[in-house]
Amino acid sequence: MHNLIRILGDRHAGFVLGMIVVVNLIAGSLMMNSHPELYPKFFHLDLNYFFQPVRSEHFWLYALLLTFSLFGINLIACIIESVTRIAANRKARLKEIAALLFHVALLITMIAHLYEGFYASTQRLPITAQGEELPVLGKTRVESLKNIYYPDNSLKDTEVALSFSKPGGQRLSKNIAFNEPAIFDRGRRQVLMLSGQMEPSGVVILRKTDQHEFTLEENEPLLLTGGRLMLQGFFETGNGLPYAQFLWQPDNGDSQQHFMMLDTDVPHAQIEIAGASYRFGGVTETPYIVAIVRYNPAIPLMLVSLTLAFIGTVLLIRWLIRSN
Amino acid sequence: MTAQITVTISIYIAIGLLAVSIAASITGQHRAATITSYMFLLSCAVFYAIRAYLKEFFPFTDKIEAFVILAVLLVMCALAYRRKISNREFITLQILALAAASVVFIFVDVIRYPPMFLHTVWYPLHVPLSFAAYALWLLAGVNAVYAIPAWYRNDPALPERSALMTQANRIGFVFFTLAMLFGGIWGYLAWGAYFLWDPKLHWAVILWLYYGNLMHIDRLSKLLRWKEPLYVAGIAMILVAFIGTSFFSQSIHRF
Repeated sequence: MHNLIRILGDRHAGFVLGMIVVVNLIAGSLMMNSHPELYPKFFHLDLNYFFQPVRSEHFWLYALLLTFSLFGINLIACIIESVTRIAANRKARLKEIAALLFHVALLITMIAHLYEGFYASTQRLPITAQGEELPVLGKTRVESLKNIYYPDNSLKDTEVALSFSKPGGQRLSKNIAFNEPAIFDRGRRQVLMLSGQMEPSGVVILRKTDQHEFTLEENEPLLLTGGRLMLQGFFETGNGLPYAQFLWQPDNGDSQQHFMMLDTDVPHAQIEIAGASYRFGGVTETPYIVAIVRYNPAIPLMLVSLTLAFIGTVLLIRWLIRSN
Repeated sequence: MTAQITVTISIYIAIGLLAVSIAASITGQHRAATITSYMFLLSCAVFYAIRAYLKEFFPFTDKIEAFVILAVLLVMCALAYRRKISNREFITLQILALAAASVVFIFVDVIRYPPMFLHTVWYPLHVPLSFAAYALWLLAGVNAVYAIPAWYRNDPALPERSALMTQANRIGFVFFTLAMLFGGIWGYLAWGAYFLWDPKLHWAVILWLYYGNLMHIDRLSKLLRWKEPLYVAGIAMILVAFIGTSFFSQSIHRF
């Protein structure tokens, strides 16, 4: 057994395998860079992607998995050898313990990446005030959104309040921002924001005769005297001026389309419907974010690895200070 | 406007001081070279202090700041190891620093507020630490370059240089490990993942594994012969990781 561990944990072989892993990673980075159509820009650690289907361009990844596996076996044997040595010598040196912790952390990281690569999931989707059904988290809505700007009007941060109505009836509220995701299930599940903004959802129009205010939401007909008015959508003219398109459906007669400029200071900011004149009063907005919803079951393993690596680093620093 | 001019003047003065320091080193005026190197650092401190004030944040968020911080760290390494390295190595490190700082002549310097994703404490923890690692590994690489003739001749003076390479690598490795840990936490919070299939992140792993592996070479009798060439190759890898992936890749990390 001891001999087997010594052979498997051969340090020279470990070094060479480590360098082969490095070469594989270099090949992978070159391949990714030369085939952007195959490797999306914001590409989470998804190993299933490389097998659905198997492609010659992914050769580096298959070689990487193989060499990482061999490297992992070597690493396990080295760890067993180190543990035996440290156990035999109770007065183990700082450097040896630090090295052991680093190697264990590396091994756990490799296992965690494998686990994550095959079992994690990533969804990229818009979430609005109307809500989006998310697995486990249920109906997720954006309750409010506040953009914070620097003095030069560039975006500094976006604060968003989210609500979750879980399938069991439980309701939750979480505030998120850039670099501050909503975290669930001890870190395994996350909802994070890539961008957030207010988007127009409706138009307020004012009847000229009595200044009565009507609010139209997109694709929701509004009953007026003599027919129904519906906001069909928001568009831009060729020179970038925003306008709204309406459909007037009289009780008797053909439907008519109307266009209203969304600016009180321009001439076409009003429409004539059934003899009455309506002018633009304002735009109603609704919050909207582009989110990443991610489930990664390997997070607890990564936390263990992170802790070990931190302790290893601290011990290594202490050893470096003492030895200098 | 005055602050922007002061920033420009301070970096121009810093570059001038570094050039003077190189000239002093070449002509053997070691004391003058050391003093002007410290003055370079002081001038860069003014450069960063004003930028931090204007940006209301840690000033490492654009390419000019990134290159200048590398120059600062290279000069700091050269000064810290002044007694352990030869004058030629000191000059080489200063020339590398001068090359890095000279990007101010290539790119237009517009001081902007940091983008929203960079507005986190993890960013200043991640970036300067990884650059410190680059500087230390470059020091080891420069040391290896000048060790190549001795390596070729099997010169008995080689072990002394070799020990410096190992020492610089160990400290660089500690910095880079911390940078990776902080970067991983930041990635988890910003992107939902500590690792993405991205050229820059690939190269971070490549460097960490490469230099981590090199830390073992002193105990590998059959491979020890390759130590110096591998440290020299490390210079190319750092350049790819720092410049290649930042300018010539599809990385979301690019400048």
